Amino acid sequence: MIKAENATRTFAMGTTKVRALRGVDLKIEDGEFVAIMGPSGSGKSTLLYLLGALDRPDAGSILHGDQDVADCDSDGLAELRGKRIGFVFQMFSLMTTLSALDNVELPMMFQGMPRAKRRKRAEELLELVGMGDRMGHRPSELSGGEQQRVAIARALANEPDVLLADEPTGNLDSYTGAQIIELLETLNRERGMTVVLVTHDASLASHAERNIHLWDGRMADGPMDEPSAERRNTDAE
Amino acid sequence: MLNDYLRLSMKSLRHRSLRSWLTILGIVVGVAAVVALIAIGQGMQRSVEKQFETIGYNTVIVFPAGEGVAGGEGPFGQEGGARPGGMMGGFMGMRGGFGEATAVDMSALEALPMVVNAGAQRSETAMVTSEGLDGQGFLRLTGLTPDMPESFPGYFGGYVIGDGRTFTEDDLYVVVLGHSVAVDLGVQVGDEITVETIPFEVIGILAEPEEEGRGGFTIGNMRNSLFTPIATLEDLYENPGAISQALVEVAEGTDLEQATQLIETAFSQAGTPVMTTTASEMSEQISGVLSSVNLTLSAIAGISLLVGAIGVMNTMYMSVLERTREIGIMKAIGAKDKHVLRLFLIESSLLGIIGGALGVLVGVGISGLAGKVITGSIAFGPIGQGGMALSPHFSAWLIVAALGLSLVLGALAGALPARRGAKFPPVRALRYG
Repeated sequence: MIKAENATRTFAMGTTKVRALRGVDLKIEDGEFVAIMGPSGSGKSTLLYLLGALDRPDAGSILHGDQDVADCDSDGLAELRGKRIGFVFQMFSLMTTLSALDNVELPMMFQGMPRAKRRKRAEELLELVGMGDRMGHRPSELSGGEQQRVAIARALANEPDVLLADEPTGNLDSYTGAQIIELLETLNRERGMTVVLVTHDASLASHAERNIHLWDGRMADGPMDEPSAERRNTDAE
Repeated sequence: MLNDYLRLSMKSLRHRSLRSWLTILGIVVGVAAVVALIAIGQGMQRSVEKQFETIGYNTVIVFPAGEGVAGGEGPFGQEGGARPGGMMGGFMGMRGGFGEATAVDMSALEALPMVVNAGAQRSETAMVTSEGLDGQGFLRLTGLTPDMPESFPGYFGGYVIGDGRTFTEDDLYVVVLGHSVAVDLGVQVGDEITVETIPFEVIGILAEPEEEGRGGFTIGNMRNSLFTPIATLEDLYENPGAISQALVEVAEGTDLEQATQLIETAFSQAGTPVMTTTASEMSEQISGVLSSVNLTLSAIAGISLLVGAIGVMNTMYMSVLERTREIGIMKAIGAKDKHVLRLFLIESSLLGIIGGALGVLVGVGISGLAGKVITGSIAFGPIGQGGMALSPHFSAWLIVAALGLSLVLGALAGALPARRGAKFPPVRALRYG
């Protein structure tokens, strides 16, 4: 279970402070498929990074089970990410100098897994995502859809509890995007993996069991639930 | 686990191959300069030591200490003059010639039982003419105790008769010519040349030396010299008993310091004071000078190595900057700060060690080439124009130290950039660019 309690995150942009999250409360149960929706700048990615222990909230808490992200140091966060969280990014984010197989091995290498063992597992994962015949290829030799499949295989490497996907189809055509969503659905359905999908595409979000809407860093009841001017003034510093 | 990081680092370096090679080139230049200069310096030192070993350490070199005996300027610039430094300057600066010859009573040595051999030499600049020569030449005429080349072979290495014979006690107006002199004068054994106004019979011509510049320890380049019995010079230039220097061999096992004292005392008591030096004294002094020169040259070469290390640092900073997003990805998939640090440190160390290994190879090549050029063009050490072949010396510690230094420099140069990369917050890294 992942839980956000009054999570707040502010970034400094030069002399200006941008309040990306203004107290978000959220609970995601194990095995859920949740889509976080909202327009650009609504705080979707910031929330995903907090949920993924890539960042710590300024105030409030992010709980993975009973472990609070806010209490973890840099190594503690890395440990949490390495063992319990898998990331899939919009830009695929594969290491360009490494083959598909090496890319999938990388998270296991950081966890200290012996090479033979991780190689075997990487091969299995690439087979699982339909990339069994492209293992030796580098990212530059793969199509966008193939790269995203490799990225998903990499995200599964350390058998995480939760898969966090940030606009995973944003750089893919609709057909390939649909295949990737289908793959995420399969992982959720057949492996019981928690999937949190960030998107601004309502048709993609419709694949999720539950949609969460963000607007100006706050939870909203629906896609059109813009906070009132009164609320905005209250939030302003 | 280290293998994994090495593999990743190698892949990364190969991916940016041009930049990697240019960075490595900086280290190669630095290491090659250090290795070459140290190897040449050590080679010089060893050559000098070897030369002194060849001539032996049980010979005392004696110079007249009378008035008017002034030292010249040594090959390292030291002025001769008052003893003891002046003596060395005079000796080292003789360049085949000496100060004005001064009378010394060589019979004073007869009272010293440890003296095994003794011989004197005197050098003058003589006007020489011959039938085969247009005009006249001013050449160095060296008078020797006849058995001197045989008694002190280490000091007369180039005195090898190629044609004819050398002189004996019974000869007077005879001359042995250096190979070049014989060619220049256009004479052969049996011909006659005129020294000053006196006719001399050419009884021998020295063999052409196998190595350029090879000559005698004390009399310099023999190719351009004329040799005659020392008694002939007394006849020719007057000043009986005058010598430029003498060589005194003492019995094996003699305390050399004590022997030099006794020799100086004996000559003083005879009324002809002398100064003395020994091969080991000269060897020490030359080694000291060479060490200083080597240290200075190595320090200069070290600067180029430092520049190479700054190149590594620059490359690593660029690499960290360019790969900021990659750092974010690695952290997102579980890399800790230490993993990122290790990766970049290994990368910079690889730049260092590859540069070091290639630098050692290039340094070996350069020093070999430089050794040949130096041997062929200039002479060095106390031998004056005598010279000796220079072969650079590569000790195991030099190779190991060069490799170790380049590895450490690479790692140190990469430490700051690596730390910067490792400390990059993952979210900022992922959003970079």
